[in-house]
Amino acid sequence: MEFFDIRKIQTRTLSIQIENGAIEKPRYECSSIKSFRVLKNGFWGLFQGNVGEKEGLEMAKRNAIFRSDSDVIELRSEGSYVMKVKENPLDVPIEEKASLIRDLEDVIKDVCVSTKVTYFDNVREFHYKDSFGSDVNYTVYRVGISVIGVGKGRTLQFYSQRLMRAGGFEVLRDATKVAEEVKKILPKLVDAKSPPSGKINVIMDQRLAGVFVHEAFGHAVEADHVIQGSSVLSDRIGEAVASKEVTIVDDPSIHQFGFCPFDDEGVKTRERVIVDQGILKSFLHTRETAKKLKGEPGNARAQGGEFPIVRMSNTYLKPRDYKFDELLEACKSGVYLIGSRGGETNPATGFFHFNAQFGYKISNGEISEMIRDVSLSGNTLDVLREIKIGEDLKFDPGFCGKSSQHVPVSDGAPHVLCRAIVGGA
Amino acid sequence: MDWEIYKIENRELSAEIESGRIKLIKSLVTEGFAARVILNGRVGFASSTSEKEALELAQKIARISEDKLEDFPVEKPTKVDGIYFKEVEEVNSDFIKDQFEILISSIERSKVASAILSYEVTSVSIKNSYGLDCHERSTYSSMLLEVVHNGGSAYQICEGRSSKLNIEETAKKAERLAIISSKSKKIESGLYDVVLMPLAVHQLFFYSLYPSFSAENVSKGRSQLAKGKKIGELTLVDDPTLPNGLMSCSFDDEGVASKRTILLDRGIVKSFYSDWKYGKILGEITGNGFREECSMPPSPSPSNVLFDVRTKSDLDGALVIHSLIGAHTSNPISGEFSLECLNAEFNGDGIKGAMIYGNIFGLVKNLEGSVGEVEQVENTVTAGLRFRRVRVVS
Repeated sequence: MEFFDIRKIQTRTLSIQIENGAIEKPRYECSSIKSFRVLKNGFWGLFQGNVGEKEGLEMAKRNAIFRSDSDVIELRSEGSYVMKVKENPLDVPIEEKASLIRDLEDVIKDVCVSTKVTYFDNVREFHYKDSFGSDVNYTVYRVGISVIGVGKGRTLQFYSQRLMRAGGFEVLRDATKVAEEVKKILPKLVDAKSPPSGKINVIMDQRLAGVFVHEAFGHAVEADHVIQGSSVLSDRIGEAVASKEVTIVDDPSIHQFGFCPFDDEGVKTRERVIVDQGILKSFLHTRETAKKLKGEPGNARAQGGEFPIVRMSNTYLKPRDYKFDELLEACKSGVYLIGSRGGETNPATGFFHFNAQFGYKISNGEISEMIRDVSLSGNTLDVLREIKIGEDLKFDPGFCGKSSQHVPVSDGAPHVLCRAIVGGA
Repeated sequence: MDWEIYKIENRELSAEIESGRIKLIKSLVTEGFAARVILNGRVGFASSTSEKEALELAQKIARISEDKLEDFPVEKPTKVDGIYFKEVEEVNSDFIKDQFEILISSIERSKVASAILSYEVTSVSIKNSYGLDCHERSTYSSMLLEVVHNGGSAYQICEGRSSKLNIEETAKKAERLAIISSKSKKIESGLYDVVLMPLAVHQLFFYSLYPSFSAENVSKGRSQLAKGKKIGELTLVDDPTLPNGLMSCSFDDEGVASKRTILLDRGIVKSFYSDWKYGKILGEITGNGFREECSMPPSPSPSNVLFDVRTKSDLDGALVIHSLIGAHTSNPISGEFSLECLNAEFNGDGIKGAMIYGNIFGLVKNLEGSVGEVEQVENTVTAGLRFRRVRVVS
């Protein structure tokens, strides 16, 4: 079968940052990308360039010159979506945006030796066509702020908080809370102590648990890793891979930071239950991996005009019954880790590693002294086997990198209690 | 109004390999413009696929900017060898297929999970209202590789300026590490002598030490370093003039001529790498104003960072770490790190579930010597480095 598709992506981004009292590096970024794919004799050719459709497809076809076994699910998709927002960020004067970050910096500057507050808004206009007759277009807005403070005490430390979501300028009306959080934590963090080390009980807050679900589990259910033989979850559909408490979902259709109404292969997005009460139910798929593994497409994403690959969107661990106090009591002795400086996983082995922003020691079921520069590692499946899950789901936004492509995502989870290796300097 | 136009044209041909088969050939031809203007002393920046639009938006955004700059540089580029190889322009699908065959035939017992072979030609030109008009054409080739073997895996990368990549050697190394990884064991927690191989050196130092040498971080209070401060005995040099260096260039992304900068001289902090703006603030412009991509304004960034370690050491009795997971989570200000070993071996056995932790400034003081051949991984040019008494948690 011969298949082709054409993507046209136009984006416009405004970014303003204030550093140490001065608005620095404000920038506009406009891009216009055309990307053409042809699948011929089971082999893909892709061309990206600013040319007409006929020429672009011809160039892509010239690259599809070998033979292989790729194929795609036959699916025709049509639709149009324009995100409705209360305050279109393009209509808000740039001076108001600058004023917002100046106000946020004012909140934190007294506790910082250095500050950096960033605002951004982005509009993405996407148009997709393919040889099955699909014709899809959408317009989605994203806005966000991040607040970073550097403080000095016994050590030099930084603490950051952010608020980013798909939506209009109204998303940022509560942004002051983000800065207040930095003001509250940073002065204590600079005098925090080194963490204990070893395999111990860990309560992760929602942001860190969200990163765990994304990094440590989500990447292993991306079907391209399964096909490559580099996932610990290959051949385990229908098997128990976690405690019965665990239900994990990926849902691009909810209005969190990873929102997209259609994926980058034009497929309308919907909720996908990955793990249902501990049983592995499905992988995440592109049109091609869905054909190979008999799954459902809808999780193909690309940075700009790159080749769409299997990606997460808004991935979350569903809440259960434990109240936070009950998790503390069950923990008895260990650490309570908060926030994330990012993480990484090896889906092939299941080993993960990520850093918390800070934490507290837990002694006799009670929170005690603050700890800094603390990281967490372990094996995904070991951790998910013995996990207690709280009731208070929250989402945290970020950018996920895979194969040199970065896409907006959000990770969600309630507080959880598990056992993992903790280390720190 | 003063202005600067940065133009980048990129042509790339690449192949993606999945499960031991070539899956895709991709070509791209892109062109981008970035404009900076100085209006009443305020700097505005914008990027676009249209030069006119970039210039208009840069002027529009300058009105809220408090980014100050007096002028743009005008310098004569430095002559640097080994940046451009015409043969890369001639790479075609058949050449890529031949390289793929070399890759596959180099792996005997394991499987190539994924790989990307890529060949790029980049042309950069910068003009400004002070009369600067400089151009440079460069080439870059790379292979990223993941090999799997019975539940073990290994990542490797090889890069170069010409089209001749060391594919066979890289593939064999990845296979050896994947096999070791498949039989990996736990080790006891404790203090170990550790050898970081070049990829691991880059991963750790890029995120935990290099940011402390940024002139911007220094002037904004985000670095613990000051000139004259001593950290160990290491000598570190930033050298964009290195022949065949992956980050070498005749001029930086603002048009400042490339030059060699000694960052650390036997442990003494000598200089910081700077762009035009922060170089003026700190009194030393080093020609390190680089753009992460066309859409980002230039900021101080390292080029080729050369580790000069004269004392030779060996692997005996050391935990040998080939690569790490999560290096970007290191603290760029305090230098604290705690990182999971991705591929590591101890007395010939693969090691799993081990985390090293410490502080980069403390680690540098415990540098014992270099091990093996010097190679370049992204910005870092180094041999393996042996450190005494590193804390390992397992």
